[in-house]
Amino acid sequence: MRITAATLILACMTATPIFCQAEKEAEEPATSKERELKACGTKDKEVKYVADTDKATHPTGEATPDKALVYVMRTSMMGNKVQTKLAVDGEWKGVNRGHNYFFFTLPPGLHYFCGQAENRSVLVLTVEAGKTYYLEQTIHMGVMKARTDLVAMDEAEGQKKLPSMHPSTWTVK
Amino acid sequence: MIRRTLLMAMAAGWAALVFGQNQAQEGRAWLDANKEAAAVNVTGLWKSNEWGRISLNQREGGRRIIGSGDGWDISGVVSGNDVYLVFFHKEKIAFSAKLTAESPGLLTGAYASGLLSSNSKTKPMRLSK
Repeated sequence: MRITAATLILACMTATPIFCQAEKEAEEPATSKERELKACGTKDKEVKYVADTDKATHPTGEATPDKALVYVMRTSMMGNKVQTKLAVDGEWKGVNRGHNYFFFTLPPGLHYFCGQAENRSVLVLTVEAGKTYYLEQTIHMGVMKARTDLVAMDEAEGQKKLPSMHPSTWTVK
Repeated sequence: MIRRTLLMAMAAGWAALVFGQNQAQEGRAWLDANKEAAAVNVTGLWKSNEWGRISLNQREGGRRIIGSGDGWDISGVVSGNDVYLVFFHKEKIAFSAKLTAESPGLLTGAYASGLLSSNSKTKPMRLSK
């Protein structure tokens, strides 16, 4: 018990500088945890989905003069039924399964994107109004289920892959 | 027993938080040593055979860079035409790089494990748009 208490006291003492830091510059989050919180939001606001695939239609979006268009694609069939969710600036936008995509528009500027499967992956990206962006949720083996990485694709690569994807559909649990 | 486990978990959490903050501060100090006004804006998607796809973001008129890509959390600063980057993995400084903007679509320079210093063993690095 003494050892535990000593560990706690030591940890708290070491942590003190965090609270003594000079006023933080009005800037971006410094640590990975802070970035993740900004991208994914708090656990209590996380959305759970029931996801499906629409194989009958192939809707596409259009960037407007004041908004950027963002496609989120899962190009691989690996871990087909495993959901890879996506949030932007703490707001959950949708979910993909194998070979799925969905899209939405965003105001221009710096955004924090969160991809989530077994893990969480953060992408920081500046989007411009009138432009289209293609994000890929890559998938690989995890411990209990698949893990994901969220990466921005080339426009040419995204345009090439999109026609073979099926739109994701979902309801919120 | 439960109390002890809880206390140990709290201590571990604090330690992880402190470690992450310390590494972030160390990286920030290294970046802040480069004080020139930014002569370039490196916002955009960059590619490298070795580093994959990297997103760098620099606010207009600003010097600081925040980025990500292929599992890295990236912090950086632009000083003149030079770009200094720190690559974090799980809150830990993994690599750092000093690059020069050769053109709007090309950054070349060197990287090293940990924070770059005059004693660092460097390897070439090239990012292109």
